[in-house]
Amino acid sequence: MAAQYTTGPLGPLPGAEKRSPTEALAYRFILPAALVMGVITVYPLLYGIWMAFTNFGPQHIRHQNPRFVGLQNFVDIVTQAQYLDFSFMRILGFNLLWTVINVAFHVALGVGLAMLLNLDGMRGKRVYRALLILPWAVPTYVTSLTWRNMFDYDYGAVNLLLKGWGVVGPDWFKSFWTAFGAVLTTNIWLGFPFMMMVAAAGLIAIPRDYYEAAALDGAGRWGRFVNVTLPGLRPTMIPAIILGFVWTFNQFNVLYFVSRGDPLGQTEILITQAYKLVDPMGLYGVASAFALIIFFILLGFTVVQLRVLKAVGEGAR
Amino acid sequence: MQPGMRTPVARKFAKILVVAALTACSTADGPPTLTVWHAWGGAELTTLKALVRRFQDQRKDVKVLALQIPHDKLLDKYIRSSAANGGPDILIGDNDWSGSLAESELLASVFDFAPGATGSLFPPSAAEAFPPGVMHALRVGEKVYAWPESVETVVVYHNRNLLAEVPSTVPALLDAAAKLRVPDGYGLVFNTSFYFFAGYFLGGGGTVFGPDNRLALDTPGGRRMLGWLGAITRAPGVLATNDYGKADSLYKQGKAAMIVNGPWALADYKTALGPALGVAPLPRLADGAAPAPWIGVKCLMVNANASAAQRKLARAFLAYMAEPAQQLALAEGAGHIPARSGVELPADSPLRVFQAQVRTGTPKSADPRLKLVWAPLDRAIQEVTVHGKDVGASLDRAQRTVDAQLAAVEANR
Repeated sequence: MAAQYTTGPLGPLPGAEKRSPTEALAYRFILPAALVMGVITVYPLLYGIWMAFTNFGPQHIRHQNPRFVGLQNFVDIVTQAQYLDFSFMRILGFNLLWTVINVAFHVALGVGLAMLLNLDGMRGKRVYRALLILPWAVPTYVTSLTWRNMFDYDYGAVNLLLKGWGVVGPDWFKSFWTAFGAVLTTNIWLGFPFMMMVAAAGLIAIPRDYYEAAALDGAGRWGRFVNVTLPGLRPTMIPAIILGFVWTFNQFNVLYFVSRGDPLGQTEILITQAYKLVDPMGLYGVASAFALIIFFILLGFTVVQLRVLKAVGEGAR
Repeated sequence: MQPGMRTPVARKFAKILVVAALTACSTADGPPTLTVWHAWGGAELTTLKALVRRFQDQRKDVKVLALQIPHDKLLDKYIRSSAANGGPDILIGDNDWSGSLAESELLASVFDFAPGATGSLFPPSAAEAFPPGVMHALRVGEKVYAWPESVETVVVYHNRNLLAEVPSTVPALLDAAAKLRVPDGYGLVFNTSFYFFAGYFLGGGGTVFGPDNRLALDTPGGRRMLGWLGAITRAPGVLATNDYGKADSLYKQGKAAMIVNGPWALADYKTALGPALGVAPLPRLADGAAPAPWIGVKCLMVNANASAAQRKLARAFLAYMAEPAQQLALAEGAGHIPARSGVELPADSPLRVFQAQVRTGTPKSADPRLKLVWAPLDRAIQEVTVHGKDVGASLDRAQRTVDAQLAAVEANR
């Protein structure tokens, strides 16, 4: 069986340079999937990069003969050319605020609820778990439209509830902070179940002996949480946080359906703004440049996150 | 892998190949197929199916395959497939699609009004079957890339249990809305998005494109009408919102005495209100000016990829759909307002109100520039009606934004 492994903690095994028949078979198995991925993922990605440097518009759809414009699309976006009618830096700032606050809530709520569900002797765990996963199981746009209606000024459930308590609810999408609160609430509702599931799986993987050892060392609840639970959750939560960051950064449905950018475009994020460059403006080249900028922003943040978390992890050892 | 396992897989694969080959053969041997993509559902779909059956009874030499595609995916799917030299023979959609699709060279020309021009599906004389306003809405330069099926515009729907008659002027209508006591509701729900407001904006002196065909949003007439909208949104008994779903629900639930909406809502409103449903023309402005709402046109468009033989079949289907009998069937079955001139609707048909309203309407041009106007104007409306901003500044901003976007799109060519 050892021959199946080409590398290990000690480096390549003797004779591993030669490709084994098992490995060759494995490559043949993944070849169809790799070809499909190449066609449906890699090709559009490369095509998008090419479009970002052209003046691609509706008139080029049939003959694919746009003009090369170099970095002009990127310059237009960053310097806020008048036809764009928005400030890239302002939207980027909002996009980051939106992402960081959301992910913080998702992780805090997800880990908290996972720990509650992990308590010994708790009855009805399966029922609670199923109920808490529900927001994740419902299609995002359905949830978004439901929340949109719930935040309606006249007839929405939120304002009716507030009215019952003697409070006059706001016109949620009329000012920035109330609109932000509305979209944030919706996305927290949508996002915490994923983190909860990941955290629940991570908690199960932490050996109980560690908690017992920590207790013997005099650690209280907080001490056990900080010194055992958090480091134990790290391997499972880091990929989840990075995924959550990328998903939330590009969370189109919530912003598009709940706030619709209101008030006056103040709750637009980069991806909703990029969509508008295609429909109705038909500026495919500029939209591709926009998408490429988003890609590099996310790539940068992912690399930074990984390095910071790695450094924190090494420091904690 | 066991050698024996290969045989069943190979057999299955062979069977699939045989079935596929037989299917291909049967298609090749049968009558040619005319593929139609549409997004019609409910009563529209039932009527379309009946009309297709009738067409096939007349034309045994062709098979019509009508495929329903969700409305929000239809245009994108068409663009993607036809750009790759595929797609249906006929696309049923809105007239403002035709300008952009023609710009992308994805549609065959239906009419060409240039002197001596040939190569279009129909001669210019065939356009005389339709009102000039309809043809005006479809024109892209000298050409038309869409065949009209029906027209659309907005009118006032009212709930007879709450308001027996819709007043004929706006001041009287606002007065009635203020006096009505609708429990937990409103006298009038008015959708403030530009599509619905356009009737008064354009009827009261506002413009989108001026006489020289240049963008002309920020004009004295435009400012006056946007200010007027700002005032009526604060009138008692009026709910002004750009939320279509909310306005629609309020009317259907009996919480609004009046709503401005189009013929697409007629079937739903009939179901919701029954005999209490009333339809009336848009009331005139205080100075007597008639509202000029958008006239949209539902069309059949022919794929640029269609072969000469397929175009001939498509031409026959288009002509069939515009015959008075089919136009009447679409009106009765699907609630479509006939695009063809001279189709007489029954005296009690609510569609007659729409037909009358069309006479004062503004053709919604297929000009691709129009699509750039919606968002900036909707923003200007929001600024004035929701945030109380200055009318002139808002309209000026809209004008400058669209001007810059038009310049960018032009420079992109």
